[in-house]
Amino acid sequence: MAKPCRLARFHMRFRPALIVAVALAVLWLSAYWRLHQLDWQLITVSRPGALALYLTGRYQTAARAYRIGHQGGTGAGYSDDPSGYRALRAGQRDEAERRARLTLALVPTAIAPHVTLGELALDKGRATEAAQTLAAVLTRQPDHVDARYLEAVALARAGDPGAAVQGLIRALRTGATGERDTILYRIMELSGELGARPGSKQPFCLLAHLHRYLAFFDERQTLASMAYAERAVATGDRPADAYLALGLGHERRGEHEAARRAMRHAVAVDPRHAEAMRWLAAEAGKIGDLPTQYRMITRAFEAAPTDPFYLADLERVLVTNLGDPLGMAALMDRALALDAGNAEAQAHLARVSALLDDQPGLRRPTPSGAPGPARRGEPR
Amino acid sequence: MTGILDADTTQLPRQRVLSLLLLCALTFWLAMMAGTYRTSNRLFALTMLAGVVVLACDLLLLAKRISNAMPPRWSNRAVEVAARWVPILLLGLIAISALAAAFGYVNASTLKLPLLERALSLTGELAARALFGLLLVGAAGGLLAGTTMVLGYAALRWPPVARTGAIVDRVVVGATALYCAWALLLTLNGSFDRSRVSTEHRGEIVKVWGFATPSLWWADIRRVDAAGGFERVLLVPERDRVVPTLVSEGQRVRVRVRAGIFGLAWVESMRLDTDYGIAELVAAAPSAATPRQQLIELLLRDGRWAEAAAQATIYARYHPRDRELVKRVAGALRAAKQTEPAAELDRMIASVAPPQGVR
Repeated sequence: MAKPCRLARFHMRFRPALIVAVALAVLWLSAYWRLHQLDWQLITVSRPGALALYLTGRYQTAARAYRIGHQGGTGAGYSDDPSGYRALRAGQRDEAERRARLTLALVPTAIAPHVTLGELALDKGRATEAAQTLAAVLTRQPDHVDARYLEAVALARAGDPGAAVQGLIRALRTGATGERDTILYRIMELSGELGARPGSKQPFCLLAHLHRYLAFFDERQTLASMAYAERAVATGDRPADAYLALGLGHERRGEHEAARRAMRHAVAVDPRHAEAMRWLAAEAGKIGDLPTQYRMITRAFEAAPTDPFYLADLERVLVTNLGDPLGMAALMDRALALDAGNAEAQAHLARVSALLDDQPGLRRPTPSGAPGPARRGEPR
Repeated sequence: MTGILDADTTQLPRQRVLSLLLLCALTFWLAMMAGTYRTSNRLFALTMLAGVVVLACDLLLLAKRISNAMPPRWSNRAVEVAARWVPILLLGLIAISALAAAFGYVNASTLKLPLLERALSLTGELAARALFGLLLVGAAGGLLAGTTMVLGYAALRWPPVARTGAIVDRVVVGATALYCAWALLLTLNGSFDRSRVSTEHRGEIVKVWGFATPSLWWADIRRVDAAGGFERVLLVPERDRVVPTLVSEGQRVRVRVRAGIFGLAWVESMRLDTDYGIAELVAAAPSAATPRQQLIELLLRDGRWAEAAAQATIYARYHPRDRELVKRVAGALRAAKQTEPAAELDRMIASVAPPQGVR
């Protein structure tokens, strides 16, 4: 190319329509990218100020504004709201308590009214009482997600961030946000409150997991969660749990290698971190790495043998992938020896027993330790 | 005479556009072929990356040549059309995106239909993405046109600028030609390789690195069967059956390499070594069927007959109903002239056979 043959001679005119359209497009896009990551639950027409507060990072005030937005007439009689939750949501605490207690008087085994009473105790600033009420619910129903989240909030307010983190991890691993929308606002409020503390007094690990919850409703919160997790690791605040939050954040952002690294760190810091090991087992399963998958899922089970949450994954690996119903039966026997009331373990044991009955050659190990094929050896 | 000259001066830029367009297409095709017959050399494995860089330079040069070749009346007409229709298009996309959001809110607060929510969300997002794409194309086009105009003006006023432009043009075309020659060599090296004999290397991934856009990933591999051996493999997910984001350091792989007609070793395939750690898994889960089956296959493949027979015996004790596998092992042993262990397995099949009438 020696030289340009000619210069383009455009008629450069001022075009206001084009300029206005481009400006509008830029404005709309910047608003859209900011808002489209939000769940509809955060966008309320009745309280637009709440969204503005939330977007500016004033979570504590935003949460209160959101809750005020829900207040007003209950619109529901007792028969439609026996647990008192809708009355509580509408800001009618006395009515909520009356309904909850009435239901408990009629049906003492009911769970939801207890959760409402727990929430009421939280509202009244009696965090310890709330934690006790919700702990009683969880004793009866360990997988009650609403109670799990609310108990974590109560424990954090009662000054036990470690237990709160444990509760949050258990609740978050279900992938559910809970049925009560008050949970979102309570967690938002708590995040704002803890985040407003001076740096040295912030429970970074707890904040990381609280923001993981908020990320269900707002993708951007993943970054906040990861930032808190990094600070928790740096300051030694429950580093294994912090690495878990960091790893899950990386995974959510599609940074798989970084996620794997964080999870390995979590296991290195705490070799009995069941949740990180479950994650690593699932990851190994994706590439068909059976030895790692087996090693990780059995270690997760051994770290939490009474926790029914890991049993489904354990069965998938042992029975489906490895073809080892005998091994699964042995582990279920061990789980039942520690907690005879573990209904999940009983169900899994019944399933693998049926499989073993179909294969008479396979011998069932006995829980009493009577002779049977040893787990780590060859058959006699 | 003047008419003939005018015709020549307008034809020349168009030919230059066409020739560069063809060169771009050839570069793209050869880069793909170089990826197909990828080499495992540390530097040569980056041929595809070099292709992307060369192609990007070619496309910039192409834009410049198109701009120079385009008659001014065409440019003005294009600007007129854009000025008339682009605002309407932009406002339309904003309206679609905003309406989808508004209906989405109404659905979320009243109807709560998940399918409608998904459809509205998708519509809004597509409109917003189209809007973003349009703005991006407009900005890039404007920048390119502006730069070309400024460079053209500068080239007319200052001869060194014109000379530099000409040199850059030649360098890009020259580099592309060299790249095409190299990629052609790699293509011929692999496609005319009639040896049909491949060597399998075992290795451990040291690092996986690359780019998400365009999706180009490499695995740096340390050979475990040759001290100091190193291989860099361009990952081809369809052929290697691996997802680049799922492979990571420490994983064991098997790389099948062929000699190449010009002696440039090229990678036929790479796969995760699922056999690695299988013996340890069998020891940890002795009653598991799948890992022991894999171990037996592995031992047979490696000609370790006695060990294969021993594992088959243990397998039969745990899984007496699966006589097919033991029969197959006995058959493989007989084929390998291992008559004694084969006969032993046959005797065992007979001894553990379930009575008739039992499944």
